Amino acid sequence: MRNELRERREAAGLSQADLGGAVDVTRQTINAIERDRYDPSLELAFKLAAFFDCEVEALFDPDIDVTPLEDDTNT
Amino acid sequence: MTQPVQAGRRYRRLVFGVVAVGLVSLFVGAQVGQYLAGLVVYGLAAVSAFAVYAYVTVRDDLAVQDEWEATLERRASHLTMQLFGYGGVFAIVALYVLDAAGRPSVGPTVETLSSTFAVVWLTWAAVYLWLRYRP
Repeated sequence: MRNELRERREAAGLSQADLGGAVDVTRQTINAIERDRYDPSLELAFKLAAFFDCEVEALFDPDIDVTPLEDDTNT
Repeated sequence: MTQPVQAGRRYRRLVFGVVAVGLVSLFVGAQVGQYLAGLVVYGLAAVSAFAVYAYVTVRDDLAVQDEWEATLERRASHLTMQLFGYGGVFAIVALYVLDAAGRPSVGPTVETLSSTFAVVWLTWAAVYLWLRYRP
């Protein structure tokens, strides 16, 4: 899953260890996410989004192709 | 409440280090003819590692790993089971086929390994069923 974690972290002037400490994971976990080698849990994804004060979708791009359920609530 | 994972990681390294010392002792002991001494050190290391792990996780309520490390361990366990599963089935069947074909290859050691293999997979199945159907 592509993500903008590295860009946002570097823009904030943080090290991987700093970011890991902020969301209670290791530096290695942040590194694995930044290198697209690990997709974080929902909880961690929301923590990261909350830390950077953005939506989860702004941080992670799941690159999925799903047809949304049609909105038939008005029919 | 679980404390930050960084605090528990030093205990994780300690546990891994103690287990590594035990394994090396067992191997070196066997190589130099001091198998019993190596076994004793290995046993002490295993008990010590378990005690440290239990102390840290139960008494101190520390997380010794984060989600990525836990995921890696799960994947390693899965791949190991697959390796032994596919490889083990193939090897054991081949040995029994050879034995039936008149090339004796199934001795007590192979029979013990077959039984151990079956017990491991039965245990795996029981754990799987428990995880799937637990209330």
